[in-house]
Amino acid sequence: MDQELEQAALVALLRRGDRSWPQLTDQVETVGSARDVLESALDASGQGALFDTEPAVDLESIAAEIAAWGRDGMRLVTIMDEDYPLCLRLVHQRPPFLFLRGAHIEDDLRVAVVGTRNPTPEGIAHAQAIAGGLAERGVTVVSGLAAGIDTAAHGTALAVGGRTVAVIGTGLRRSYPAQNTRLQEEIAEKGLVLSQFWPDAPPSKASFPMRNAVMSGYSLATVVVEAAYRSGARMQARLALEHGRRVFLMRSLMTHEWAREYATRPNTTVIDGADDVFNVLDSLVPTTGELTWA
Amino acid sequence: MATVVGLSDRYANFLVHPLLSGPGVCQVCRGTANPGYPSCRQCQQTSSLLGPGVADAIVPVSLALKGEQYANELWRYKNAPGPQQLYFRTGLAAVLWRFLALHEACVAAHCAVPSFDIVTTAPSTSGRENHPLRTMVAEMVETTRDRYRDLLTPAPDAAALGRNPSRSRYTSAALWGENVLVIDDTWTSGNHAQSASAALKAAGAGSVAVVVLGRHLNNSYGDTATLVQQARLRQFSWDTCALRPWHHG
Repeated sequence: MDQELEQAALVALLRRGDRSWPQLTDQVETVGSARDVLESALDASGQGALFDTEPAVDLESIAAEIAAWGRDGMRLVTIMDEDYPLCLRLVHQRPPFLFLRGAHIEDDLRVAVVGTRNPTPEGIAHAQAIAGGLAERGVTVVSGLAAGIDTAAHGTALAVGGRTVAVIGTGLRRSYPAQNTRLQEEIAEKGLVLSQFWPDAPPSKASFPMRNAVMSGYSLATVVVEAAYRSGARMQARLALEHGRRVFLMRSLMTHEWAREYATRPNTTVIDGADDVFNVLDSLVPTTGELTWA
Repeated sequence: MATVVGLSDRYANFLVHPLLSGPGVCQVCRGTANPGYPSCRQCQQTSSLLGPGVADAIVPVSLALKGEQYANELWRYKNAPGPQQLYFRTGLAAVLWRFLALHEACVAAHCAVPSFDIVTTAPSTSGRENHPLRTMVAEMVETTRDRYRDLLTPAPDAAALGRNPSRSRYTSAALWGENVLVIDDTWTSGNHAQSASAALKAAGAGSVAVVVLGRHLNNSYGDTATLVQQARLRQFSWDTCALRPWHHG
């Protein structure tokens, strides 16, 4: 019950809309309780004094709403919950909550495979080789359910019987693009669909870059298959580096100026195939414990 | 296995070298200075209050910019309870270890001393026990742990001093000319670190230098945003430091 009210308080805080979501995330995490933050927010606005016998926010009804989402197959996980994915928790752009449809596995090895919505046949072939190769080795293929490379990555992972996760740019009740509705359902059944937006949120210009940040955070590394300078995939490569995550660039990308420049940055690797990614994955898992020099 | 090289490599994509000294940049703290002044107003004030008590060198490892990964880690490693803290402490300890392994000699040379005999941290004046920074410096980082000593004690009225630098914010154990390296996490105004330096020198320290993990800057102040843009153009490299901004070590 305690956790349900905490979740409800977080939802209430986000709905108030008086502070940015990143600010609220920091604050709730620092205070250690969404209910405490909500209470002090209400006090500050004078409502506590005015209605001190009545709760100004009906947490019970929000908890009922969360339960209804859950019955609809959409599980809410907040930053205060223990099962919030650790990898994602470590990046500064962690969202305050996620909605999950499907099964979250905490300790699988996850690699994002991303690229253009308008791929060439070679691009599709590379995406299939990478995604298939990773999935066959037991690696979870994460992608964004967009047309083109994303669709090829998800589809191939499913085809070889591997695990795939879609991090989508809409709420879980929506699909974008519409022709991927069926794919989204299949991924939810066999893997996981994950969204940082309210269940009915439509796609928007801002939602896709936000989604890219979460996809980077949820994954140990990002593989860019085929991508132009102006693309969500290049943006995700930048975000991943800014999160301290490894970026793998397909050698065929080296025809692009931006990719050649990225390849000179620390923590990037130019690759020819799935093995180049798989062989170093263990070293990319976040670690704690005693430090040694090398 | 957590290795210093492996972990700190990941940071190189979002660390930003401090502002280069020069016009418009404070030669003491590497913040923004008003045009025509060698140091910022804050450092001028500190210097007139503390006199020779101020640190002989202030060396930021990186800028810590609001809304970015590094500033976020420097906040959360101590303020946001949760499983992420251990990861951030390990990562930040790797950053400190690598920087000191490569550049402590630069800091010592800048202070014209052969080495630092003692490494310490300034305890929290808000009463936090077992500050995670102390754990990092006294236990996790090999280059500092054998030289670590708890020298400073906050004065009972330290919290009441607010944001001003003061000789009496801390008291230090007695020293006999030892050179002391102070490690701090974030430099905003420098009041804590400078107060620590003044206390150490009053207690008999020889040279005092401060290495700070993150230099916070207020982007809306003066030319700061432009200077930060320029700083970003220099790709971060572990073999460069604020004192010798070219490849070395």
